[in-house]
Amino acid sequence: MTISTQVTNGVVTITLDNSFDFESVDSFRKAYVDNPSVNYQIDFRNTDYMESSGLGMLLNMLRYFGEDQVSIKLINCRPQILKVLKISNFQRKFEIK
Amino acid sequence: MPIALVDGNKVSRENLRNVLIKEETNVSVEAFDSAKACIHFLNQENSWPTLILITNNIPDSSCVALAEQIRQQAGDRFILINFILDDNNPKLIQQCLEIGDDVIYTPIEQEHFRSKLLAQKRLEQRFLKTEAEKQNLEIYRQNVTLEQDIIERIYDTHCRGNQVDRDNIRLHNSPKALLSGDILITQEGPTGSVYVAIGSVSGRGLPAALGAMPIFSTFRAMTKKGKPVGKIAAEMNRSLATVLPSNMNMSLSLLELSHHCDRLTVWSGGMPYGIIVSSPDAAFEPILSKHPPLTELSEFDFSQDVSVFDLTPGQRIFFHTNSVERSQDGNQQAFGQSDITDCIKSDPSRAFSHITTELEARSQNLDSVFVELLCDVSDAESASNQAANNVAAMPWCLTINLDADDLKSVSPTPQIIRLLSNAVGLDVHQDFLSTVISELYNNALDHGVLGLDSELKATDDGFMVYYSEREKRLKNLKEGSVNISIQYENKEIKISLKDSGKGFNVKQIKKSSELDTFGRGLDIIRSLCSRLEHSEGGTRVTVWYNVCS
Repeated sequence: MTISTQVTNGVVTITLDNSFDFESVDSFRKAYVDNPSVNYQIDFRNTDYMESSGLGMLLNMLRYFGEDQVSIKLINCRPQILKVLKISNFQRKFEIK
Repeated sequence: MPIALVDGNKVSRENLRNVLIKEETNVSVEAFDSAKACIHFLNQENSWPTLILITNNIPDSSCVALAEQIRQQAGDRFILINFILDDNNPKLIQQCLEIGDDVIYTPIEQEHFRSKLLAQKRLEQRFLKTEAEKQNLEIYRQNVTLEQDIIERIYDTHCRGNQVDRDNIRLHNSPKALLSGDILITQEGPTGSVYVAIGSVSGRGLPAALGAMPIFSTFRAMTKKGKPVGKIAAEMNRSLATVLPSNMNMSLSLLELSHHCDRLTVWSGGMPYGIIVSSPDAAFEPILSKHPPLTELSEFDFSQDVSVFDLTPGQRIFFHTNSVERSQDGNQQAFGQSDITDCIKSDPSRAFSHITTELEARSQNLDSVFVELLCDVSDAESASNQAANNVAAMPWCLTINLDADDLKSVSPTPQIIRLLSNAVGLDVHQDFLSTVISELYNNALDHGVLGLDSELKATDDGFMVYYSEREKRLKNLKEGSVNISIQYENKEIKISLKDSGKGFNVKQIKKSSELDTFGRGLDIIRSLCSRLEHSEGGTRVTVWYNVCS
């Protein structure tokens, strides 16, 4: 499985792989750089594992656009992923659904 | 054909015997001069003659009385009784034909007699053929009974005792459904979510039920560890392929209803659509099956892609198998998808019992499976997290020493987790242990062995530089090691990593600020573990993870 990207009504949905770590650093970056928008959804439906490099990648994305210039929603997170996101206070930077 | 002959007159008895032997090459003839001798012989014999010829010239009995006696003793045996008469008294003939199969008159005409014998022989063969078919049927019936017993045992073991018992989950399920290849199993996950597998193996009977076997074990093992449904489906696809021949497959919907009943995750292949319905307005959303049935795609082509549905309290979810649509009642009336849909739309809260009644009316030979999940938060809250059990586990220790070659080629975290996955009592904690171990390992490798500085990640460009630099240094690595030890005792796991790096000033670890793209690993480790300790000049890190929490 790989990262897949879908654009609907200006919203870019990036659906992540099984695990979200530095192995996907290039393909994840390409997914948003190649599809410029102000509305992104990162879909974790297929993801059961994530590490801090994944958190770094999300923050790097936020920084790439500028924190106030973009809305990034993290959707369909499994409880384990949710816990890791909350430990890092990500609900303050991202909308977590 | 074995023949018995009863005649009181010695001369005519010998004549008859000679005629019979001349007519039939493959014949054994037992001749008796009295009823008593004949009955005595029959009493001794296990294999009776097929044809018994009785003349009306016997000293101790009438021919009809002897025939009656023989019939009575024969019971269920197949015997043909023919009378040889020198008297054409109509009354006698009538009596003879009431008990016997034919009458022959003396003097015997050779041609006529031969035709009669041939006719009797045909009768015998027809009987033997029927008898053989009856035996085959009996063997078949015994096999079917045996198959049903086995299926019932499989059902008892895998489907009955182990189901999740919550008020908001209703199952329509029976051993007869398994006989038609249908399965419906449920399991509570470690985070309190409920998993459901509902599906159907193509074919019927024992092959279909046995074909479903890998599903049971895969489902139980992976749901207990809280694996995502897409991944479980992929594993089922792989394990089913080892059992099912290429002309069989399995339709399956795998569902995970979140602990708070606010989200449904579905992987579905080859199944009729499921339904989410709101109460009381009956707003209706189909859950489409987006994949082909299991085993249709190779491991490589298989898609783990799932559908996710946000739920609100009071909504109901329904799933059924294809065989529901094939089931017919006594009047051959099917109960199809549109009937189910209508039923659910018209009264969601009574739909389950209504549909179940309809299905039961159609379950003479086949049965089908059907499930309803109700989004009831209160019920989900009260359901205890049974997965966090209190099994007394033995202490153990795992030591892994990785040298430069290993560090280049091996991704240790998944392998370590696989080793831990069978340890008693760790199921629930696997995901967090994965996170902890991989954070610790990445730190030891990146900053210890490879000497990378996280501050590189401070800019967008630097972030990418960091990972390409990591790749480069790892490729060129000549010397270095990471030693990992994992110890379990008294519900606590102690993980210690020693790296060959230069170490660092432990006092200088700073807390990452909100937007830092680095330094988060340690925060995660601190939150998940009860204690964290750096030692040996920063080359050793030890954490304690509590499996009770």
